[in-house]
Amino acid sequence: MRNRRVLLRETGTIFLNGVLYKNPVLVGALGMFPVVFAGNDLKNAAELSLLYFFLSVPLSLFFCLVGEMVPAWMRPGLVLASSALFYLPAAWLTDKIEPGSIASLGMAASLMICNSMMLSRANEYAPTHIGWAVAADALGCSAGFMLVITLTVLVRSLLMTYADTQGAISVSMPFFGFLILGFFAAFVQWINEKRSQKSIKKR
Amino acid sequence: MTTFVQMLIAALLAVTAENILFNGGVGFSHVLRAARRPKTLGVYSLFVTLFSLLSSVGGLWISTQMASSVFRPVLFPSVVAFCAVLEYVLAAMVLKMLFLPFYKRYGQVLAPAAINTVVLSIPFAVNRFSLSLSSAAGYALGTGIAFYFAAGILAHAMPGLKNDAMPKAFRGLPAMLLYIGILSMAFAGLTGAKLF
Repeated sequence: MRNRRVLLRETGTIFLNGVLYKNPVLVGALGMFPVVFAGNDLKNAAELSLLYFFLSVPLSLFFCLVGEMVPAWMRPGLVLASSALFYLPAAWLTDKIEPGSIASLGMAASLMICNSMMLSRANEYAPTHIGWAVAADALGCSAGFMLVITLTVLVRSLLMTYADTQGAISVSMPFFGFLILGFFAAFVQWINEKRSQKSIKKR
Repeated sequence: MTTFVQMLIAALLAVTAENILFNGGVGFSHVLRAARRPKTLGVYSLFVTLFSLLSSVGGLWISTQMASSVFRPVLFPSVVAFCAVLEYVLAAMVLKMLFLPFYKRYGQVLAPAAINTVVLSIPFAVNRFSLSLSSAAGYALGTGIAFYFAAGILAHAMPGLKNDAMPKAFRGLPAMLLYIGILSMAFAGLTGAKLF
């Protein structure tokens, strides 16, 4: 019973780390391209989040099972090959839920195959952790990705309502995405700083 | 001569107005990774250039083969990714067998240089700009140079972005992202519109 509770708590911590405290986009600077490039409207955000979820969860779980059997030098190649393979059903599922989404997302959807956040989790994290932790991490990272891209869209949409045509174009460009991510990353760093101060005080 | 000039123009565009890093927002996680290790920056960029070149030529060939397929939007990225895997495995094996000391020293950057968004985005850029073979090769070379410049600029800026005078929340990565945003804004001024 106690072990189960510890396991649940640990799983929750891993999930929350992926969502906020160690968000791979805002803390690890991974997988920023879809956010800065396509984080312009909520439809894109939802479709990319779905695609990321359908790709990352099976990929991470697969490498949790087979990762350690593959030589370290070969693993990045196998991770990309598996990602390319998993992309086919993931794209099909996303397209089934949102018809026409893969074609309309274009390059943003295609380059999800080599999303650095997903590949690094499958290559480095999944082979050395147990299934529960890997599943929690993959779900947490998916939720974290969704959170960042959705918030980016909301900030952009808010600014677009007050901007003229030229201003709206500027807001939708990748440079503006980086500026938004910079402020989000600062916010997460501020939260982590407060948390560490709190834990020092507790001790 | 015309082919060479086409290559040069494409390379110049890849470094300036059609820079996929700053204008497209592609591959900054790898640029940052390269910038954190200034000692291997040159070799990392060289590998990126080489794999971009292979990716551009391969992508062009795959694109013509799949031109009439209805499954192209889904299959094209997967096939390009498989090609990147093949290129990486072949390069790693050749280096392991023929240049072992070099591989031992720089093998750690081979995988990230071969498997990244920059290399895999080249075939899409080649399609988007309808480049010929020579222009595609020039574009890939230019992208390699752009990668080197971007990582070099960020490596140079890194100590300053951890400055104690800055609010704690902004030190390090947040400042780096804002810096990238401002640099990208300057590049956006060259095009005035989205690259892709």
